[in-house]
Amino acid sequence: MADIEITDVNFSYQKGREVLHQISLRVEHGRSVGIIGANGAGKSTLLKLPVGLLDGYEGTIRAAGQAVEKKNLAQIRKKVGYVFQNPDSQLFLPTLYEDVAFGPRNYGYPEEQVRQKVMEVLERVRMEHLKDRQIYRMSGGQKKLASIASVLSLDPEIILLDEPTIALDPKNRRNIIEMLNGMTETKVIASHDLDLILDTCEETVLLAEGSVICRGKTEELLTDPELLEAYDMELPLCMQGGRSRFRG
Amino acid sequence: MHMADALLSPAVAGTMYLGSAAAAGYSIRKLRSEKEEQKIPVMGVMGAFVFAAQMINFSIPGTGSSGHMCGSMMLAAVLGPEAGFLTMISVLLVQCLLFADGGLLALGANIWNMAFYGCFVGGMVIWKRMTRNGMTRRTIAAASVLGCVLTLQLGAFSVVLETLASGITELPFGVFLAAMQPIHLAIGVVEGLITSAVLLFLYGTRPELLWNGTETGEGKSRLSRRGTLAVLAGMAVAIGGLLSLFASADPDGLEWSVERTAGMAEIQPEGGVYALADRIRAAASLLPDYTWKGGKAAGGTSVSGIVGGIAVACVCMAVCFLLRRFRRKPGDQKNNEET
Amino acid sequence: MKKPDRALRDIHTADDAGGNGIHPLACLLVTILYILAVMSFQKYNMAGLAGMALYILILCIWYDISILDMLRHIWPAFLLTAMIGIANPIFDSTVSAGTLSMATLIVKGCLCAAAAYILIAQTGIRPLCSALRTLHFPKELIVVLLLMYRYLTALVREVKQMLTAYRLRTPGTKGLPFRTWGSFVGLLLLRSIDRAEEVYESMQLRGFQGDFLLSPGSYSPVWSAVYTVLWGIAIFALRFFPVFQMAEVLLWRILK
Repeated sequence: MADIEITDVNFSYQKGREVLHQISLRVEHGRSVGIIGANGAGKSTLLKLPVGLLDGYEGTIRAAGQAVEKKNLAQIRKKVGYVFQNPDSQLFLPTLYEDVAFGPRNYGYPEEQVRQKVMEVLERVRMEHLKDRQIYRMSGGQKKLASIASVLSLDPEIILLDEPTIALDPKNRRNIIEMLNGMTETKVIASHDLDLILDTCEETVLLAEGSVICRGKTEELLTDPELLEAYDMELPLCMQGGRSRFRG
Repeated sequence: MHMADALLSPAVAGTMYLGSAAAAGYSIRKLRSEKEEQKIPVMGVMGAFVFAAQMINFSIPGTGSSGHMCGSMMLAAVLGPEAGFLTMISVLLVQCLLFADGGLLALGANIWNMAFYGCFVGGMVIWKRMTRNGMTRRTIAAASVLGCVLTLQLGAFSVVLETLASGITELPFGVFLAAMQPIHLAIGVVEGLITSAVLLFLYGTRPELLWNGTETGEGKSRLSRRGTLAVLAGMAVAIGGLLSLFASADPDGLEWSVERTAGMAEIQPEGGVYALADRIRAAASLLPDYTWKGGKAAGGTSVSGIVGGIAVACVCMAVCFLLRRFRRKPGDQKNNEET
Repeated sequence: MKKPDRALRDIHTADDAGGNGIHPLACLLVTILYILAVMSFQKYNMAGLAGMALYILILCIWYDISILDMLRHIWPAFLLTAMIGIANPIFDSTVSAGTLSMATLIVKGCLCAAAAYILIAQTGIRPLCSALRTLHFPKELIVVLLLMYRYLTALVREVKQMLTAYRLRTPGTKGLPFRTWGSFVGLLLLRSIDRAEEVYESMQLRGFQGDFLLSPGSYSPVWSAVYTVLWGIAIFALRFFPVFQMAEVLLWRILK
């Protein structure tokens, strides 16, 4: 069974203005799928559906083997992690340790296990030395890693990431990409950083005006300049001629 | 008008804590009964917002001066009186802890003077009444200005009462009042204008965010009546306590009783000539309380204690520095690791 | 009111001091005792009050708190008490008595503000909140307090940026003109509310059930008890005995 199954879903925030239209999407276990599209194409909305953040959709959604309904939400949210675009929204506790421990504590882990889990996750993102650091004193790259850590602490099977590399410098961006490639969990990444998608995702879904335009292997989709330009995007930088000059 | 600890006697501070705690208890019960969990993060972030907005200088048209925002009326108009009140408590607590705006023990009084009047009188009475028949730009503006002016007047009046009841200032009641109320009238008008400008902007952009006085959630009717009673009771306790303290000539009640039970009163003269004499003596010597019997043997009375004080301070500091050395070592290592 | 930069600096003092081993509740209890003792001094008892400064002095040394920073911090308390106290020389029985009572009032104000400052410097907001939670302080208030503390810096920085951007486009103006009041603050408000909605989503996704569970922290019960008892005795002594004079007599006796 697929990890995420979205079938014929329509969604609108306000009556009459449909944001998603007849969307169907399957993500198999262990795969990583990129969702690309111009601003306002519905990427973030689509990403929020499997964790039950949006009510009132039409169609069926299943995540981690369960239907996305109110009664299943607690279990689904434990298995499906969601990394917000803005780490300042995601990290709401004063220090890194407390924030990463928030999920496990709410799910009733005993304190000793919480500590173990937090340290394990912080080691994974190489931030153990910052565990007592105040969140507001961290750099953008550190916050991004921290928000991924705060999601990993619940051992999710599936991770949804909304624009994971936005506003990061090249080094931090590279760092995040390496981390994502090292993760074995199922991943869905929504971004218009096409180089990121090319580096991390096997498959890509192109979204425009709330509908799936096409889906395919990332290398094929992202090397098709006509298709991308038709939907207000450009080839990934590394595919553009100008860039190769510098690479030699 | 954040009050400092020094402006209150322990008894008055305690009384005001009781009143504010009663109102807080009611607000929390109300919030729980409404089951609006999503309000809590909004409260937290709104608290930070009020804080940040207080850093803005609003230049007042026609004058060279500028005004600031206090925020309880605005919080009440967005979050409702109960949630607004709880948010304002957090704002005042953080102001007191982080910025020395208002004292820790004066917090009860500050909550009462600013948050209670602002949220309950301003929000529950004025805002709710005036917007009951639907909001218009005019009712929003009028309610904001009227609410701010009235609640600031009430607050200023309470400050006067509390300070005088604490026996802190020698200002006569009338003079103090005459100084406080007009100033706060001006502040209230400015604050009202700021509040109405912001609420009107909100009304124009996202009117659904304004609290319209309708109750949500279940079980409201029974609880709200009981809760209102609790608030009224709290108010009665606070005001009754204040007035009774005010009535007594020497309101420093707690000190007096503590000393009596401790059996070593500073021989407090009961007033009249004794009080006057004591005051003069106190003023002359600067060391009124310290005429310890053994003191005669050593030095003159006028400087008694100064050498001792310096000696004690030196010894304490020396011990502190020594002990810190021992304590330091593990701490230093930790600091090094961190950097 | 504060300028954003000063506010940001003040917020930093509340970052977890950590690692001193003394339970925040012990610190809180001692601070309250201290403030109560200071508040309860008679209005002419300057000598006794001066003794209370020992507490501030010792803790400043012990916790490495910069006295200069502290003085800057308690400035508002000084101003406020001075403003109220300025009437005393006029209305008190004699001018000198009034001056004395004004001085004690100001000293009281400064000592109390300093004590609160030290409390935060020795505990930090988060441990203090988790300690208050163990006292069954309402969880809603603690959650609001922690969220507020967390987003304070972000919003203050935002205001700072907005003000700078505004000033750059309108050189020479002081403060915000009337016609921009609503939109300037209103936009900040809307952004704050949007932020809060996302924060709520993030809280929900990680199983929020109405409470922030915090680390209990590791404190030494023995040291906490010793700290409380020792300070309790010291404050009691400073409040009710002429400690300095006794020390002086002792000193003379030893010297003889």
